[in-house]
Amino acid sequence: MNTHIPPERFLEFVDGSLGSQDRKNIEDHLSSCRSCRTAFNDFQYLDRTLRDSPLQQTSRGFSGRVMARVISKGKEPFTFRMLTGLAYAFAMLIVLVVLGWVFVVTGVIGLETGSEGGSRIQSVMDATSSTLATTLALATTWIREYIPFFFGSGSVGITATIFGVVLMLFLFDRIVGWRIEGRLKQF
Amino acid sequence: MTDNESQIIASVRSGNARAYAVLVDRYKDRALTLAIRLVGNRDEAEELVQDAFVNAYRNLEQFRGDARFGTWLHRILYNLCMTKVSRRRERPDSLDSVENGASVIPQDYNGPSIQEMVEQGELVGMIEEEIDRLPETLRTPILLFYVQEMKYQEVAEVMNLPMGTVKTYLHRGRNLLRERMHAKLRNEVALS
Repeated sequence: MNTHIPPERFLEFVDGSLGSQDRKNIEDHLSSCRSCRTAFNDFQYLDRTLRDSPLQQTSRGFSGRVMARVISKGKEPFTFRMLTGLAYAFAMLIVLVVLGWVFVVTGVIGLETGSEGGSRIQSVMDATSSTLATTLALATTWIREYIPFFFGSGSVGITATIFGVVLMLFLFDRIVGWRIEGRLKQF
Repeated sequence: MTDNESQIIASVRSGNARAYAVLVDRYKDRALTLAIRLVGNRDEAEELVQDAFVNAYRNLEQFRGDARFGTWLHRILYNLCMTKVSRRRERPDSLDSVENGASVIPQDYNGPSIQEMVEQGELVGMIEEEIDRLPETLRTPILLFYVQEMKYQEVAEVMNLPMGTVKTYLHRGRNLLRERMHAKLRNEVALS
């Protein structure tokens, strides 16, 4: 082998992936060519130094900090996450209502009964408020009928109400939340 | 992925979050070593390593298990580091400019080897400095291959590059390191 050894072959030479003839050619060349021998020595030196580079140590308590974040993510209750989602939705609804109100007050959206767009918005608002009022009335009637202590006066009634709400949330989180999450994971 | 590692991951997936600590302890120092070299700041690097572990945990369901957990974690970390670095500068290092500016060692070079010069000048630590000066495209494969002891395929997965490109970058990185070491050592010897 008269030409110099391409440096990219050194790694194959070192890791033993070359065939026996190629290996012998390189060995013969290295024994006679000072330039390639120097390049090979450089390669081996860099290779060894890089592999022996010391690892950096993380600061004290690093694993604990990671695990605290991991566990807090894992144990976040379903109810909490659901309520957080509802809070975001509710906040967005408030923003939309305020924006709508500003548009109506400033006259950007007209509510004149004569205009076609105005009467349509008016009818949508009427229908929405009517539906909300009916739903609230039905819910109140149902609660009064089936959970009488909910509106009970005195410390017993209030304590029982708080206990009942906490118990319901706990059961909802453990049973319903767990099941819903299980179903969601399948998708 | 080793059997032991797959057992740990199965345990974490089944709800035993504390088993994840074994993986954190196993990979934290290697991950930090890479992150420091990529972002150049220890505090930022440690934050990014934390984020990488938390992101990996959160997305563990997506880990298919056909690679080592370490490879997957390093890929997440590499992406986080690159996002951080790219926010700092608008234009990434150009390989062409590096290659054009580098001093090329002649093929018939008959001078001393790096080791001979380093032993003369006791300048072992300078390799570390030269690694930090490499452009990111060449520095990352060198760190992953040598310091993280990854195979070509694993480096390719972390950097999302074809294996041939990784081999080329490794080769260029080593050559550039060698050239810069020679240039620096010649200067040191001339000054002494």
